[in-house]
Amino acid sequence: MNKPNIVIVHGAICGGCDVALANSEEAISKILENLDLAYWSVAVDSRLSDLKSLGKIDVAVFMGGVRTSEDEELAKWLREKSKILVAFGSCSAYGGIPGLAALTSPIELINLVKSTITTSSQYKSIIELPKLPELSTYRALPHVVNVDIVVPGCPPPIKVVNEFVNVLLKYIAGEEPIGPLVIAGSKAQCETCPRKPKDLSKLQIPSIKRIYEAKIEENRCFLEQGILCLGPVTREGCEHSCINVNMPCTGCFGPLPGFEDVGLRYIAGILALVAVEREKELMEQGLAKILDKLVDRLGVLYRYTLPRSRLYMLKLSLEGSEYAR
Amino acid sequence: MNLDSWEPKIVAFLCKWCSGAAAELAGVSRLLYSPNVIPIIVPCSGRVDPDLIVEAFMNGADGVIVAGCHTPSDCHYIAGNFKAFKRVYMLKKLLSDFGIEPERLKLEWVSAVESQKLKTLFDEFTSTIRKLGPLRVKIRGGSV
Repeated sequence: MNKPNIVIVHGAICGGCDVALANSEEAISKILENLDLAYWSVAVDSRLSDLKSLGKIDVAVFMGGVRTSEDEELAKWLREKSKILVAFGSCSAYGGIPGLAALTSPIELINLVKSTITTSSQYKSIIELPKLPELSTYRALPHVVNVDIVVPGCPPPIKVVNEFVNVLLKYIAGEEPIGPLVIAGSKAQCETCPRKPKDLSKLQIPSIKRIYEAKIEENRCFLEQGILCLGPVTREGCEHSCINVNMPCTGCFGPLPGFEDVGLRYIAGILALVAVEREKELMEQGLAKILDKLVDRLGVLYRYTLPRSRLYMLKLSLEGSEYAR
Repeated sequence: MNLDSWEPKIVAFLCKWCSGAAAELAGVSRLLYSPNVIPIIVPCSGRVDPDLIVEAFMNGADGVIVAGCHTPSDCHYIAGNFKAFKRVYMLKKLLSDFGIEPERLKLEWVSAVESQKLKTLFDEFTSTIRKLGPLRVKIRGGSV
């Protein structure tokens, strides 16, 4: 068989990306038609040893973040062996939801597990724990190795998966990969958002509300209603699956080209607009109180991108981490 | 790092119209202020992007001051100082989320005639940073 082969490998992942890939009939049938599926532990019967025995790999799709020493080793090995390496899904591309745990050190996590273990002490000596891969500092895949294609989304929507497979087939046909190619638009969500504010140049955010506090009107900009929506700083291309069901964008498509830190950009651009008409009267009695309504700062501003943020890089470099950039 | 010879490095973003003018006045009046502070004049305190502050920290600053015109109505651009307030307030919160002392970032209003206030601000902030020591993150958890 002379088909080029493809391997689909996991790091720290929930499994949603596998479903997203399998769910897209067009994409999966194109993959099976044009490529030899050599390894995909959740879909075909294959072991890690089968993967390691492959001489060459044409396409490697990495899903999930880099959480353990095993993930890191695998990612580096794949970069060495494969022609095209794909970061599939937000965890892989930007860190994703598990990336929120990056601020808790591996040592702290292990201590927590050890201190709250429920097995009574008399059995402690009997139970032999299996040898687990070591927890390492959580990183997104592009932080560990260079990637050729980035497929964002949590999970990537069908349209994006199809687009990705088309790009992939072009590359296989002989086109050279040009840098990390992100399968998403390069404009903000707001450009294509069906909800438009009354006057974009005078966008007003009266206060900050949490979702349960507000009766969210349909067809009206979330920011105007005081709901923090990450649309202004997020790439478009997801067809607004959250916005269409009356939920604000949480930013799974990652930062727009030109900056890496979604949170800082959001503070500079959008949070500075909060209560913009009442600043003078509020300054004395509680402009800060309005901002305090944003309780879960990391969860809102960095839900999918914390391990790629500049503040995280600053933290790593101050810790003297070998992964600092 | 040798702590005996360590000197705090502080970046101060001063707005052109008030705090920057106060710095000029401090110079003309021959007020001595702490040499650890590097003043940078920007058009408006509302122009200081949180990115710039993080950039300063990433390049070795131990503390950052943002100074602008007095609220509510001194700002040359009407409402730039409010924007600065919101950005610095949120960034302080974020810094503490990431384990960096929020005291390392200070926002102050200084008008064009308050050169003495600026001098006191610089001196007091330098001694605060001197007490806090070099920029570091709180490492939680200890050893296994």
